[in-house]
Amino acid sequence: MRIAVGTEKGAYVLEKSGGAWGVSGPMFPGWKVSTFGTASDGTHLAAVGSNWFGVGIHRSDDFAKWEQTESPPAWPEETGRKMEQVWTLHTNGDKIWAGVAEAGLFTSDDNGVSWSPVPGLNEHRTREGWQPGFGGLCAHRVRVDGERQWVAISAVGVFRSDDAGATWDPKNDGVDPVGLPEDAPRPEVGYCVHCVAHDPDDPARIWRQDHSGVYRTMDGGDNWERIENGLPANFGFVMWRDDSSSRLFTIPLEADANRVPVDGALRVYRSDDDGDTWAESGAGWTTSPQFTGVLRGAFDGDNEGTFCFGTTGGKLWLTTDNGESWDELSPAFPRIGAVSLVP
Amino acid sequence: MTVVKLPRMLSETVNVGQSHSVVGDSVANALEDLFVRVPGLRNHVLDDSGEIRPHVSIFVDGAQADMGTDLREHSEVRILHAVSGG
Repeated sequence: MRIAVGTEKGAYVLEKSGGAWGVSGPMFPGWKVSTFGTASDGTHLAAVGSNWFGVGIHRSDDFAKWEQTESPPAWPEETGRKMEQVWTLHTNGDKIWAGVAEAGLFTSDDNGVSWSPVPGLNEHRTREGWQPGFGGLCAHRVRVDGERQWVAISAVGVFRSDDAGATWDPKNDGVDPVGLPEDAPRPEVGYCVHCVAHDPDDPARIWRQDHSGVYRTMDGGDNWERIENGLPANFGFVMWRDDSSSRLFTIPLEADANRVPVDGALRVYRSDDDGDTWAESGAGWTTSPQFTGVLRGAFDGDNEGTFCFGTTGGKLWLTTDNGESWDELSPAFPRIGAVSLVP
Repeated sequence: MTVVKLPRMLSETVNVGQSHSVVGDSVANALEDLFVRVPGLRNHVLDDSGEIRPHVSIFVDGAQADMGTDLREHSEVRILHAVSGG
């Protein structure tokens, strides 16, 4: 198993050899590596970005030698939008979805070589009301179940398409918006979704970490309910579901104004009852204060009990027994935004 | 011929050298020729609107330039990234 780590300055690969983790890299030195992906033909993908030089998509057969594509996702000039970052690369069948900032969706039918915009979402009638969160105006999660598709956009909300992406509707009923009084009318958009995970056997079941709390839906997003029993805080960026055990994972952070673990106690929380209750996941956590965060793309699993996450402080934590025990790995990196377990 | 010199970060990402001979009587024309010779470079130098990126600077023979700056027979064009923005 290899662990790919995307950081603020380059990417690294960890591989265990003789009981110790060897580190190779940096790949893409100087570039922020925002996400990884895998095309349907097995080609590895890496999205890079730079405040100087914009975004790029790189492809590789071996995760060692990379070649940049000629045409990454780009906004048509007439939109006036800027391509700031590729936040996610999601593959389903022969198609790849790229969620980007400024917020939008692009798809590729040639394993990431070229990209086309998804106008039904990108030019949505509510677009004028889309406002960025702290991380920007970004489409960061995509889930696909045939013609039914979901996209999560900060700080806008979850949208669902029932016609293979031709048209989209906001699906946020039951979720509290951010920055409005409790008695204010609920807007159509303005929901700061941070992460979503769904059940591949029943994709209408979706779990959601929002700016305003933790929620789930059992009907594809038509109705959401809070599920925060046992969590020390309801803010965070991670929501992960292990498909083999149905176990959910999240990493609570104190609050939006203080995005660190409560009292510096870095912990993963898990739920074995679809989010009805949450409890600290396993043992191995350091008692040393860890005032660091974990971002949405920095958690990955293989759905066979191995999970790894990286922190904004540049450290990695690993479990190989479905969250029963956790180990902090020795190497340290720049701020980590993406983690991917590479077969 | 005009020589365009790329910062290392850019040349590495498109797997080419840092120095390129191009044809063009202005910065815009020289860059257009460069983008044909080095696919994948355009969007790193120009933004979605076709303007020079905010944190990228173009210098011609040591003086700051823009897309309309005229070039001489052996001008040297340097593409630099700003101290800010990284």
